[in-house]
Amino acid sequence: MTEIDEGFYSRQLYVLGHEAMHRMGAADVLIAGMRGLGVEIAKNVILSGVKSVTVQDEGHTGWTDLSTQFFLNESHLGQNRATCSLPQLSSLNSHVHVSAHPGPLDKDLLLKFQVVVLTDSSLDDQKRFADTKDSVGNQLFCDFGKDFMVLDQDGEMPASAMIQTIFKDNPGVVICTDDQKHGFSDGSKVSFSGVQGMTELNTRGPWEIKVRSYIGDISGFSEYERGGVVTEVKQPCTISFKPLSEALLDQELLIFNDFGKMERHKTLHLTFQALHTL
Amino acid sequence: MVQLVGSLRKELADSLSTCKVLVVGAGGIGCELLKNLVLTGFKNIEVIDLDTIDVSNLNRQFLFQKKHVGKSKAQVAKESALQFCPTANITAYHDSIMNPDYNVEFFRKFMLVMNALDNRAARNHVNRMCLAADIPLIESGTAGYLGQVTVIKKGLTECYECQPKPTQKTFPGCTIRNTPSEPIHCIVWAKYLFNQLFGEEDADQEVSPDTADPEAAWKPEEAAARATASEKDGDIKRVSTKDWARSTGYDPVKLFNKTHLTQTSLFKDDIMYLLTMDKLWKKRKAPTPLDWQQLENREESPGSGLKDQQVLGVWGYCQLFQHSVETLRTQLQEKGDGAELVWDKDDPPAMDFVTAAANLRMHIFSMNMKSRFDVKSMAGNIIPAIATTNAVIAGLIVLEGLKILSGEVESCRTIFLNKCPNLRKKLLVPCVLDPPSANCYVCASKPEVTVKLNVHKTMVLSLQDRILKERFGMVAPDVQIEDGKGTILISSEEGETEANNSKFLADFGIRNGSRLQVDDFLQDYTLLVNVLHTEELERDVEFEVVGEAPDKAPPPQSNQEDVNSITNGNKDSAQPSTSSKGQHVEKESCFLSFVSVVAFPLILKLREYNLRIKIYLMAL
Ligand SMILES: [Zn+2]
Repeated sequence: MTEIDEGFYSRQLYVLGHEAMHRMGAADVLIAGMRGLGVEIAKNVILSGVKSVTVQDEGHTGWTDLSTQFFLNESHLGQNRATCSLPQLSSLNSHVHVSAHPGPLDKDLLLKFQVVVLTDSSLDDQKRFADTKDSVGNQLFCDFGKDFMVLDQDGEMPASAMIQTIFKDNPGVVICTDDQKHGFSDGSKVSFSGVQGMTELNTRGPWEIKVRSYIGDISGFSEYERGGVVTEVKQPCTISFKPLSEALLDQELLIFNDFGKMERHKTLHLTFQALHTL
Repeated sequence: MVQLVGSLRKELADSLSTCKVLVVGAGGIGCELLKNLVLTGFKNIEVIDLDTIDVSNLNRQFLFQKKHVGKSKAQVAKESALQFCPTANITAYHDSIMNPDYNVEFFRKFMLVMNALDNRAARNHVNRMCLAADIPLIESGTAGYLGQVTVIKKGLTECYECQPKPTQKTFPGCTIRNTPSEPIHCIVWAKYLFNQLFGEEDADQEVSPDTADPEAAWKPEEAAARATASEKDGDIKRVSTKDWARSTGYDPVKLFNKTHLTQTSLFKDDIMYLLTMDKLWKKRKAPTPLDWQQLENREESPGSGLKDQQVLGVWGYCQLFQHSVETLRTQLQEKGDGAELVWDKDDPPAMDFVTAAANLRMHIFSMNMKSRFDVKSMAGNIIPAIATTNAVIAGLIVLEGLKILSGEVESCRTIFLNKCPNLRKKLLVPCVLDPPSANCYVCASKPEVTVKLNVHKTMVLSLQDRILKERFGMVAPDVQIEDGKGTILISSEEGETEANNSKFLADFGIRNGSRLQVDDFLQDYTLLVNVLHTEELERDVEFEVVGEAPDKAPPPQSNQEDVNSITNGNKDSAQPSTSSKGQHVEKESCFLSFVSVVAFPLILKLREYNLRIKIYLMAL
């Protein structure tokens, strides 16, 4: 596990937490298409601190790229978009290894990455790659695969409470400081920290609890002295994403709306498909 | 140069290249905004920022690099943005927007002002300047995943101050000094202590036990016993904490533990004194004094994980206290006689000092100690921030700006960026702008407020500093009493009314029902203040604004669609999440790249196909 640069990531750590930052620090990301949209995504992903970012584009810089692709300028005209963007992208974050791939996209390339972002591909390509593996398409289509494990469903702080005392018993009883709604429910899993005396609790668990909180046999533990916090342990759940080719046929994708302009998003949806025929 | 062929109407594209706009702030939103503005075709941009670049900026303020640390944000942002469009004409000011040089005339130069600020005082001020100059203002803010953009146009929409904002939470002095019950109380105490020892001494930031705590309420005969117990004459109040510290030569151990009978100390004697105020501990767990010699060299197992996330043992914090006091002492000596240090969360010894002192106090009061990371978030009021939120918000600012420049202010919206899609599966929620509030004390035609205070206890200086400047956001107020004679109570001209500062309002005949006319010349703002005299203010409360609950909580996030007003997104009120334990994991990391997709280029790209659509979120 590599060290997180706490000075550099200070403000982001307060949003994501260390756990997510470590996971991001292990991810290799491919961003295909280095026009305006691709470079914006690449910039944000590189700043956020993944392990590596590869930018792929076979195309050459044209005049129309310059109005949105901020890392390209007139001196790059006629040259490969990915290669020309590389120096500026690399300088955004020295912790992220950034490389350019001026060659074509193919399945073998895709398989090297945990996250693939397609920004400038034909719909056929998108469908093809979407079926290949987990990917994120350029229409904000999200397909994280059939078994995408979400470790934290709501992103909220886990419930926690200060401990008043613990009775050494089987099952053990934990009394939380009063005046606090602890927010736990039957079947919640919890862990302990900062408990003095009965320090075994700090290192074991998670414990499944019943409210009025019995935690399993702890009669062999040391005597509780003072202190400690009991914290909910979030349980992972698995979400299944439909592949793009299936989702395109799915009416549910058409439900997002804008204040009752019911036809509009349908039109938009079709327009996106139509754009690919241009 | 080719610019967005086909995406903007020709008249609009032309007006972009001639109109002049002001960007206030070159931080997280400001950097993204400058990039978007030059790419969209804005040619005349002025940008102002007081700040210099810090390492912690670099992970989102992408116009800055390591080599720029310490330089002016406005200046470097200008230079970097010029690389995207060398023909743009950008003026940078390394200055505060509240400087009187930037008067109403200055604001009138612009077609549009865009705020990318991080504090309420400056937002209030720019709001007033734009109202005075009648220039449209786009206000914005982000905190973590949340963001907001809104448009303010005089006479047409609510202004930034139409809705009361929650005031910053303050704690009663006796909670801080005598009976802390939460870690934040100890952290506030530690920050006060820093100022008392090394910084500017402030009578409101006392750290020693408060003998006047009404809750303690001794009978007189008990006072003698109390004095004996503390081996003192009963008056714990030091002449000056700084003088006392200086007399010990800033010796960390002496500050911690007393070494002489007539002295006191932070973690031992002061606590023993508090113990003598036994009424306080009838229903509370009493604190446990610490003794340096007893703690010395206590074996403690080293923590694991990241340095900032570790919670040390008591002796660990004793050592941190010692080292940080020594370092700060040296810093103070190097600055010479009469020098003061200013607490800064990004200054390691200052942050170490507060971490150590706060944790020692937490331990004394039987609280679980906190990591440096957690203490920093609370002590520094850290606004959590990520690049993508700023990118999305900056994109939206430009879109609102384009509407304004096309003369379509009516179609402008307040837009909230939420953390999770709402029931309609939307992450971005537009709300219709509300008309100005008739009772607004800023944008109403004759602004008026009623302030409840004690005319015998309120000094002219606190009327000026606490009420007019801090509470009502004025920069340099002039105050005239409507007593028929037009008595000048406060003049913004130097040297004219300083003699009044330490007198009480009653000394000038101000009583219940008196009216004060307050003018801020710079803001071109006049406020009528009705005085409501009262003897019944809560302890530690100097005044109350009538019709406003103190510490009013902001409306919950989920009601955003019903609340068509500027209620969140003002960064300074956003509570930082101390989410070291919040395992926001994989979903979020994919989510990051995913959110950024909504950003600016896509919007422009869609416009290139002449689709008049706004922003849709199509998944999750
Ligand atoms: Zn108003």
